[in-house]
Amino acid sequence: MQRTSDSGAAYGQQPYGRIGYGYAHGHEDTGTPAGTATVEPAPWAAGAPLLPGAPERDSAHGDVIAVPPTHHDASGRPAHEPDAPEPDTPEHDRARPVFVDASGRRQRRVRRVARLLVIPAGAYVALLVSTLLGGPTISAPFVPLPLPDTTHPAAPHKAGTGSSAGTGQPAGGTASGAGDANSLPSAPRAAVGQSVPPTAATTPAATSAATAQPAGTTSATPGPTSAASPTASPTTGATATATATSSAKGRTIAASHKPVK
Amino acid sequence: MTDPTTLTEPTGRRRRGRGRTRQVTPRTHWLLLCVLVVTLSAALLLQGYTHHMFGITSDDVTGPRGRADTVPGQVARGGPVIAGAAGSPHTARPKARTIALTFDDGPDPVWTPRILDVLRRNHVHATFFVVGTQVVAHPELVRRIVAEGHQIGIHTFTHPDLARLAPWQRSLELRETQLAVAGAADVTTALLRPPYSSQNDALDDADWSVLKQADAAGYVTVLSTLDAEDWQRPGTARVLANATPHGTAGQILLMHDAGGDRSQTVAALRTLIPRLKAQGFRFSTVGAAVGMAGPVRPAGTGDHLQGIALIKMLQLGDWTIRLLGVLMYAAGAVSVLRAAIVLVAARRHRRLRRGRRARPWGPPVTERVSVIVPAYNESAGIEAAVRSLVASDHPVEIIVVDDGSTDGTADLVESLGLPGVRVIRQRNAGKPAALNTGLAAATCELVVMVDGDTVFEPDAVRTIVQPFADPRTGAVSGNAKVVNRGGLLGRWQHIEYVVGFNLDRRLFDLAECMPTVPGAVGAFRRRALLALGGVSDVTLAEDTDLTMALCRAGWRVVYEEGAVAWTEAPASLGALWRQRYRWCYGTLQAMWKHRGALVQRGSAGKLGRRGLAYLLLFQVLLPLLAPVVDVFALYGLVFLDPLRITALWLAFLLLQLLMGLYAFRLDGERPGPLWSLPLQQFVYRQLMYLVVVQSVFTAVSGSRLRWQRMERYGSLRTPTDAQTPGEDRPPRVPA
Repeated sequence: MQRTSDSGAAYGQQPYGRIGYGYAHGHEDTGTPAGTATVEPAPWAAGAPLLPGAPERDSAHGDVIAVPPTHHDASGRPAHEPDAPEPDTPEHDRARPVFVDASGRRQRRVRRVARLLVIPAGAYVALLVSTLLGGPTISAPFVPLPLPDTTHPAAPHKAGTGSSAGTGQPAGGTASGAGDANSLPSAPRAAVGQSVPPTAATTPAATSAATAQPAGTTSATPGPTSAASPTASPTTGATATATATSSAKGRTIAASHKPVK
Repeated sequence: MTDPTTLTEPTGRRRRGRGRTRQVTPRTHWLLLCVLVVTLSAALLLQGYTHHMFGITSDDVTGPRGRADTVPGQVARGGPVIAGAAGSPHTARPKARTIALTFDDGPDPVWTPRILDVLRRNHVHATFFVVGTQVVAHPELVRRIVAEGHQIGIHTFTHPDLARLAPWQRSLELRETQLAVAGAADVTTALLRPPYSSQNDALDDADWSVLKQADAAGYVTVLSTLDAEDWQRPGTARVLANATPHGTAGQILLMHDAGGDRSQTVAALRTLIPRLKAQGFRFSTVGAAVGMAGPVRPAGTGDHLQGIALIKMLQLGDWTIRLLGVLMYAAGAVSVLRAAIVLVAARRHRRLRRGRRARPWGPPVTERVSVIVPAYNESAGIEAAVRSLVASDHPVEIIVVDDGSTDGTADLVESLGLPGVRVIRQRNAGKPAALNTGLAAATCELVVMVDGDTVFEPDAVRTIVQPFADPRTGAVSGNAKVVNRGGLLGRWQHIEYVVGFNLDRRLFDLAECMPTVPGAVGAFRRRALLALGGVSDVTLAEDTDLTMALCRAGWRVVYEEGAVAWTEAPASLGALWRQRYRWCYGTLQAMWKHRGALVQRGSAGKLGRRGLAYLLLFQVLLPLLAPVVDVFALYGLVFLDPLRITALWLAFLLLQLLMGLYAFRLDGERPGPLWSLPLQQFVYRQLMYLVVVQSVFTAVSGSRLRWQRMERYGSLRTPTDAQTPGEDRPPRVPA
């Protein structure tokens, strides 16, 4: 988009950068070919009437020095012939273009500020992306198994879906499941997440070893409840589960008699 | 629409040179602009997604449920707490005579605290399934919920129907909510209640896939067994009846603490809790009710900090949107106001100058006029320009100032041998210098300045000097028109010129604060210029600078629509860019130079407080806001009501069209080209505001523009000038 360097010459285009170049004066008489008028003396040198009371521009505001190419004194009289090849470079030094900071200090400062603005913006985007990609990892908490199935013959049916793992796990396996549950609170979260499903699976899976089941599971169930919720009193937990069993049992049984799949 | 109120030099066909010099002009601003736009877009995207994609709608089922073939039987008939869905699903129920109160959709700044108060008074703990956006909006409520011993569960971030989302979106919903909770209360929770869920037997295959995914992410899904249906607001008694369990079985009771007026919920709770307690029920959290092991745990430090960042980011985004909304409204209001003012002013101006009761300026001005034509490499157009001046029906003295042309412009003019035409040659020194040279050579009191490529109508000189019959008139602006109107670009510029000249300029004239007499066609009182010391070269827009100085000196500057001159507009985007960059930057310079006028009295004050303020608002501030407007419009199209946004856009377009039609009518132009106005919004508009961005940045940084001119100076000294003029298009000298 930057077109500053390739623009064709135009009047008004950047005459800057050559401080002291007094181009505002038509003082180049020498090159004028014969036959045409050369630059003439300014007629107003004779004292053209000036607008009375015209305020002197820019006297009030600081850095903009709008000293015109031809200088007039306070009364508005031209100070000299405008087209005389005067060496008035010092005066032109004062007529600096508006905004231009020849030292380049301002530009450096602005660039620094711009970069400083980029930093929070970039940080924002980076943070945004990180939050979109990140997020806490949740470890599944232990959820106690429903009691009713364990004491009821319907359990085998229902467990059919439970497919997986610990098929061969006998009572001893379930006991180790209880041991797992005991270690739950201290175990790291990830480990809990891993260890819980097998424990859960133990009960349904025990279907294969149907006879061994009832004893094993009953021993297992209180284990997790007490171990898993240290805050809740184990006894109430156990009794509550027991009572829940009685109420929930009927429905579960009825349901589990139907083929599950 | 950018109006050429600062049309200073209506030609811009510049030759492109091979940029030998390094570009000094900063590019930092493009980087900055891009970064800011990307950031804003990202923020808007986030806000739009979180606030406008879904939202808490009534808890009715979002659509017909599908088949439920894959839902395991023991889940469909099991307890409301479902774990291990992905592996070996099993469910749990609350213990008998245990009620787990659950509240969805919160936290809400009004109702959640009241519910918390009720719970505290009854010494009861409940479970709150919070929505992420609400957490972000009221993190302190989440802290209070946790601090008072209640359990937190998540209810997704934006309350979508998870079953209808892609897996990545589900994951996003869960993770972001978790982050928000971690940021707000420093805990994480494994409890999830999917929005629009109800009881186990309502689960379908899609829901089951959600549950499986949630389980894989570590969540335990909590459905409900009892729905208070308080979201329907059926009345407190009805809520109470719905919420009362039959029998002694444990229940997970679904209620809502947000999503609308929940006064019935609060009222029902006040009665429900004591009543059920009296019946022997216990109240507990979901976790305790089913004997779950610690579903809510302390969050890690990293998660906590990231959560805080998420909350702050979203809150910042909220504020940004609010601020931008206000700015948009303000900009819209200002634009409409401007349209109204400009139309009224144009009408008054027309009646004042052309109406039946129009007062003439004074006795007809018949004195001879000096016409100054500064020319730099204008051989292509100078002949037509000079001939059109010679053909004037007013006595003229034509002074062609050749500013060191290398294409024989001066020779060409001399060879024409036209009467009353003088040629002055000077070393290449810039347009202000050429004008000053011409001014010095002029013998008449009235001076007309013309571009070397501008063709005057025969009566233009006579018409433009008539206002000088009024001795207070210091300068007169003519009416420049685009001659090359072919193509979209030409048409757009034509529209811009007509509208700008006919509306803005008339307004400036009436308000006596004309900021610019275009260099292409302007007339001046010579003694006024001399009093100012001639044409200054401290700005790139010397005509704007000059006009402002005249205004401040107390001269009236008027617009004479009848003085028509034809000028050539840039024919390529690049040329247009350069032209406008120069104008805009020059105007900024002139405005800064004359900023003292803001606090001056009299006519200078008029210029300062009316003219400069107008320019600042409509040529600087609004264009700077324009990129944001565009981004915001896209945001509105995507996330808000596209119909409304389109209607708004069309309304503004219509306003522009009306202004355009009126301006065209005033100018006696055929309104045909106005059909391209809608297209103007897509390239031209962006070009115009990007120019302003670049100009402002250049001005602020104070960097030195190195225009082609600099190279010309150099090339003039070395005889082997590779950049012979006219290789591309003839360079033009704007007047």
